[in-house]
Amino acid sequence: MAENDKEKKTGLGRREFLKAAATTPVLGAFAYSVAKKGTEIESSREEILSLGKKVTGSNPNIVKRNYKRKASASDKLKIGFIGIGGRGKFHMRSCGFYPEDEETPRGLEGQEDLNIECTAICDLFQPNIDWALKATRGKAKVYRTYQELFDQSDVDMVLIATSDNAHAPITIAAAQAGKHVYVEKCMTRTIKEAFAVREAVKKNGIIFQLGHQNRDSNRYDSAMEVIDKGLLGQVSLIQCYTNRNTPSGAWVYGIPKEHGPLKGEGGSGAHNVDWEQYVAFTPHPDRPYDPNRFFRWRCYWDYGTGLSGDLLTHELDVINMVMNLGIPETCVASGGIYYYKEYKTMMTADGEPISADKPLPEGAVPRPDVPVIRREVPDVFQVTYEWPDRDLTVVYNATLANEHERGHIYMGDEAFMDLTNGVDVYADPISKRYKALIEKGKVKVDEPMVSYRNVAGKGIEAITSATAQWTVSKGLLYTYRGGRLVNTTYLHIKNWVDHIRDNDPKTMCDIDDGFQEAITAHMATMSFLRGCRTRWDKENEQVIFDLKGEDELAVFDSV
Amino acid sequence: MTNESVLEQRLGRYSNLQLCFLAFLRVVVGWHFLYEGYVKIISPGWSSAGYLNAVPGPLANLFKMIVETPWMLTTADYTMKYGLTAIGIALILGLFTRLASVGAALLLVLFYISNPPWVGVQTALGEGNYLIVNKNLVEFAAVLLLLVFPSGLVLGFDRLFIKE
Repeated sequence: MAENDKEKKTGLGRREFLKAAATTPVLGAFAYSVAKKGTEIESSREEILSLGKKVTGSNPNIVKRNYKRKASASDKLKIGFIGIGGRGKFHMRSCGFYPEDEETPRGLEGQEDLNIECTAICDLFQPNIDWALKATRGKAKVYRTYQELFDQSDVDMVLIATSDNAHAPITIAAAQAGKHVYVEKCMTRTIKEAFAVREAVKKNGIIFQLGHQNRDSNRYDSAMEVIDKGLLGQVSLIQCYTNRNTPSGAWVYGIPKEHGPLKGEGGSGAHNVDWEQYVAFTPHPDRPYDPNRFFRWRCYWDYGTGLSGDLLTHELDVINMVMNLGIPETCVASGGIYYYKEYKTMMTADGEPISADKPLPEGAVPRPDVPVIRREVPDVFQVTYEWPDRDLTVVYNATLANEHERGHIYMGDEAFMDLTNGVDVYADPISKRYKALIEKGKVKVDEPMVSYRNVAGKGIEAITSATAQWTVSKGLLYTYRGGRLVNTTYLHIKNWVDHIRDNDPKTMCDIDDGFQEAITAHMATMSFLRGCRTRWDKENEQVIFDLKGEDELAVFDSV
Repeated sequence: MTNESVLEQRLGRYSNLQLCFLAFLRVVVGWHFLYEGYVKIISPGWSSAGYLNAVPGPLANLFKMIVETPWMLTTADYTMKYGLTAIGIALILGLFTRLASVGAALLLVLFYISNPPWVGVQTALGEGNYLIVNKNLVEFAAVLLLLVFPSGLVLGFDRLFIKE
């Protein structure tokens, strides 16, 4: 009986085990299906990349991206900040200087300390100086003028974030004083200044960085690889754009309640704006105090560079880096003030300033201390640049009255690359090179065949399906490095400081890149203002107005 | 009571077809979770940051906070990668089924509220038309069934661990 029981039990045991393990083959089926699918995707990617035709590494900008500092960072360097407005404050925060009562800036965790101290600050607006003093915990010395800063302080380098009109004079003074310079874009306000700055920087051998921190976004590593491998075929047209739809996006910034020139009357009666110094470097140094011209300087040609220097440069500088283009041969620009024709600055019934972006509360009244602003620079602006020696055109479209994201797109005969959200490469439906893959279904025409996204995690490269992933738009604020969110301004400043320590002038956006950026932008401004095509005369290094002869027209006319 | 009689007690009142479909439901939900977890593991540099940051509706800020707090984000990523995979394998094999089902149910609730198909909310869901009820909710209902029926005992390893 006992043996029978035992037999029964073991019989049951085996059967029971089989019943329990009945679904295990499902796991096997899963593993098999997944393995089959995996190899399918892999071969597509290898096939695609192997179809690239060019030799890798032909873009010198790729070398710059792989730069690593050689010298140690044990010496504390001294920095001075000149121009501490909106952008300047972001610079200071990115370097780790911020008031105690403010939140720790994002994007700096786990990043190497720059080992710099701020010993000098200079600004024309007293509240900015007060903020900067708090940001340096009172350690920096305040200088009324930049000349005094260079004469008296012992800074090693300066970071310039003033209005565009002061970029050139201050950079040149810095170079002559032997101080390294990081200056915000646009490098200069005029073409003459671009030449002067280039000469001063090169002659004095300082380390120079132009503030195009979006270059440090790691998506451009992938973009440059795509171009370098020739995945797109021949690129004939590149489209880039700026679309915004808020008054502050159109540079109608807020004006503080208390403001006024140091000397004389004006504004709300305060005396916190060094107006005299401000207008000294402009074509009209005897203009009376006007808060619109100080706080909303980007709206005027005397202080700003309009859409060309302000926003077009973000796009063109990146295209220059990715494609290694240099200065365009010709430029045609047009546009106008089609939307932000005038704006009356308002305040609440009890005199508090109101942001132009917010809807007006009840009882809002016009501010008596701020005149109606009528901008000089266009708010809708289109520019066409030609590079006949590269067989390509770059088109820049901008409107400050629409928020649609249109695509930063490189169009080649085999594929196109879209840099709006990351790096997405789509095969062209008529592509010859990818035809076989398209027919086999390994490449779908309406999905990226190769996609690089900034993802929180490891590398920059991930083949993804085109599902929504968060990306850091354009890299103007943050990017991802080694799995963390990193502030690109910090990276760009670090790149500059590292090059200072190494005494290596080839920064991420060096003086040659800066010169190209400035000329490219100003060619557009000149074309717009004169209503005529501009041409870069490479031999004589000058920008000229360009018109073809009557003979060229005869083909059309004679018909 | 013997193992067999416990099973007879728990499963005896259902027909073979009912038990078969129950096992089928368990395996199918398991495969779904396993594959979702698997692709996240093999995807280099995958993070839930993208999904969390795109959460629409009233809970957007809560999910954004997860992205902005490093340890929370790491936990979320870990859960998505290995949690989903573990739940999937468990359900397919019928091992620790109850625990896996509770985990699955909780995750489905999270997926549902992070992309709720309610009026006025801009969801990111793909194909199909949904109002209040979407596939997450249906799968949640399926997992609830797995919880109240002896799902792990039908052709599952839980059979071997029945105690009395």
